[in-house]
Amino acid sequence: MEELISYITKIFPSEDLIKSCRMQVMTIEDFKVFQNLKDDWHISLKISIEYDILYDKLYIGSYSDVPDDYKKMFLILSFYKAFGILRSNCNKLDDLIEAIRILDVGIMIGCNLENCHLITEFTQKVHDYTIDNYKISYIESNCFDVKPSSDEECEISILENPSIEHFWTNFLHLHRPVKLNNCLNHWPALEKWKDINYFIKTSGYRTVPIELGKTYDDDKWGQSMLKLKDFLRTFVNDEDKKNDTKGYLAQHDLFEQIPALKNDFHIPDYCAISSIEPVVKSWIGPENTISTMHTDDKHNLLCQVIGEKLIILAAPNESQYLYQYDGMLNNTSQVDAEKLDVEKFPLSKNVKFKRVILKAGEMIYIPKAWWHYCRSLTKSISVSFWFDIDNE
Amino acid sequence: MSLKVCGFNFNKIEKSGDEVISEFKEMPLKFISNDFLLKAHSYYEIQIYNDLKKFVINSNLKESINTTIVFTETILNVQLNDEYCFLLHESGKISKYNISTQEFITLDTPLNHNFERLIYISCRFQTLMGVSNSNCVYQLFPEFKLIYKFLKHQRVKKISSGLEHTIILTNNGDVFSFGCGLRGQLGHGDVASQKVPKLIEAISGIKIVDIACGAFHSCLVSSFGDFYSFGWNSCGQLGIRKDTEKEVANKYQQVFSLPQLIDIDDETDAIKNVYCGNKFTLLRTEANRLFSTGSNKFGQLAVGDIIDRNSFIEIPIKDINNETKIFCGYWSITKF
Repeated sequence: MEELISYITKIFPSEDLIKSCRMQVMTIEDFKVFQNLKDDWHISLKISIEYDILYDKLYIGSYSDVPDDYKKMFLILSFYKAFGILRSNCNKLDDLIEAIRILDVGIMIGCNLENCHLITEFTQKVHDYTIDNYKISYIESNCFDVKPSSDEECEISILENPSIEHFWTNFLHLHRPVKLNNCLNHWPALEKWKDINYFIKTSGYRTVPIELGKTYDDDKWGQSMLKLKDFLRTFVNDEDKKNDTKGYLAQHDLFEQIPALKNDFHIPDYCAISSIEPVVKSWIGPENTISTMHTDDKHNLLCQVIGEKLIILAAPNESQYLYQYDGMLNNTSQVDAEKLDVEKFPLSKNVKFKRVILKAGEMIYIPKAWWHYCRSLTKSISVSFWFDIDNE
Repeated sequence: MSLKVCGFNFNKIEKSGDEVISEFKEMPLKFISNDFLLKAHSYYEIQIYNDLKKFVINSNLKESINTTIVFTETILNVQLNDEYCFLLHESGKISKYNISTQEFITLDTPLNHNFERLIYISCRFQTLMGVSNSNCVYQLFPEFKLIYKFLKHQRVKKISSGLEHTIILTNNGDVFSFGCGLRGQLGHGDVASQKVPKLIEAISGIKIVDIACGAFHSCLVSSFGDFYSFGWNSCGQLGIRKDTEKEVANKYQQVFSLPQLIDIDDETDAIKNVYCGNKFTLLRTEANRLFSTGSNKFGQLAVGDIIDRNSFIEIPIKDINNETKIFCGYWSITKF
């Protein structure tokens, strides 16, 4: 606890930041007073009011237009708000959980901005403290220990741990998809992540965004913030049998939020040529989560850690047969690649789909602009690396 | 006259928890007045005493702004954001009061008040909209511009704004919306934005008699006493019941971009008025019963607790009559 308390002296907003966020209630003096006081409920109230006002501002207009300063400030306010709770009531489980939730919401908003690293570290420590001091209920099943199926299907080239040069020259530069076997053998994740309780222990109380609904182009699609332990129990282990809602931890910067998990894998050498820092995303879910046929504007190395996934690919020149949506979803096809509806989409029968079953320990290279559809065949965890190269 | 409030407490608070008022509670007025107006934003409220030509700003979080100000010309309406109070005077003049610096500025408009006068104003997050007696909709702040001119027979009856959208009700019962539609708050069945007021077609043919906007949602009341809502249901503010069988599929849906007819309660009489706070909604029926739903962080639903609701719940209060004025602030309800 002493160590946790010391973080307050490291995180402090500048006068300029307060000004640029047009803050009306909190002043720099208030932040200073708060740092030094044991428990000031009046400043805590001010922090919480300022937090609420700023929270609304984060939703004004499209998220990409929200000034970074607002996000930075929101992260700081989240930290102060959570810190206030910890300082006054650090012995109650509910308060610890609430503090972790507030920190996570702040981290998701302020991801990669100033102080984020420090606050992420702080949050992990609060989580460890919580796990060390309170009993958490573990899941009595080893549902991530998925036995490999005998299904084999691969309509693209397969390479066994190729050299980087071979991959770059013959696949990456030619935008040719390929399955890469035996490249992840050294990943601790392949063993460690088989234990679902490993996630509960390292990050059970952490709040993560979960996609709910059949597919993301479904009208009823929604997003919800859940604790990782609740997501794993309800949507992965038991699954929600009452309705057909699937829960999917998809396309999330989990490893920025919970860096402890980064030690369990390595960025593949094949993206060492990238002109950008590879973007690492996690994909955790039950059987039959579906990512509708879509394209991305980055190259992708999709690594299967737990379970199996069916990937269906189509080359960029098939776009004419794939009935893209208009508007915001124009990178997404209306065609169901597994159950073609040729009456509704007659041209789709022309598409030369390439099917691949990706198994635990395997990696697939999906070139930029290639269409891809994914469905998990079992409970599944994948890690994807988006990267790009200059001068193409 | 008695003033009762619930939700965020703007008066002096002495200990943690005092900021919450979860049941209507009588509050003292600074002056005795017969012509009184009150509005509340996030961290402050403003009480206007027109007969005394005074207004009072009240906050327990920023004491430096607590003050009484004298003005000269009757105030018809006041609109607030977290930096400014915009006052609409009887002559159609608008003044802007900066809460932090306590400066008054008259907003310049090219309107000749002898011919065209502003009759309504409505504030978004950072822009002020206004309607003139010539049926024109203007943006008044930060810069002046004409947005739209309604036809003669489409006389504007009411205007209401959320943080980034505005809806307009005309005398013949049509509703128009414009601004940002990302949360479905414009009611056109999509999440597109509209630069100029666009008729909400889904309810055309139904005569609408009252409207209100929350931060990211919109509400309508029809002449039959039906209630419609649309926009972002982040805290249950649309009042869409989630516990019925039909709604299970909608459990996770938050954005409703078409007006939803809301079933309040089997026994409810016709709805007469709607009021919105930031993320909550208040209904008043013909018999002057009140129902609320949505965010309840500061007790603003007036039902005795601070639990959010996702369907309307009746407020246990009896002393409302046809003369009672009701106003919803960001996080509070006031009646007087």
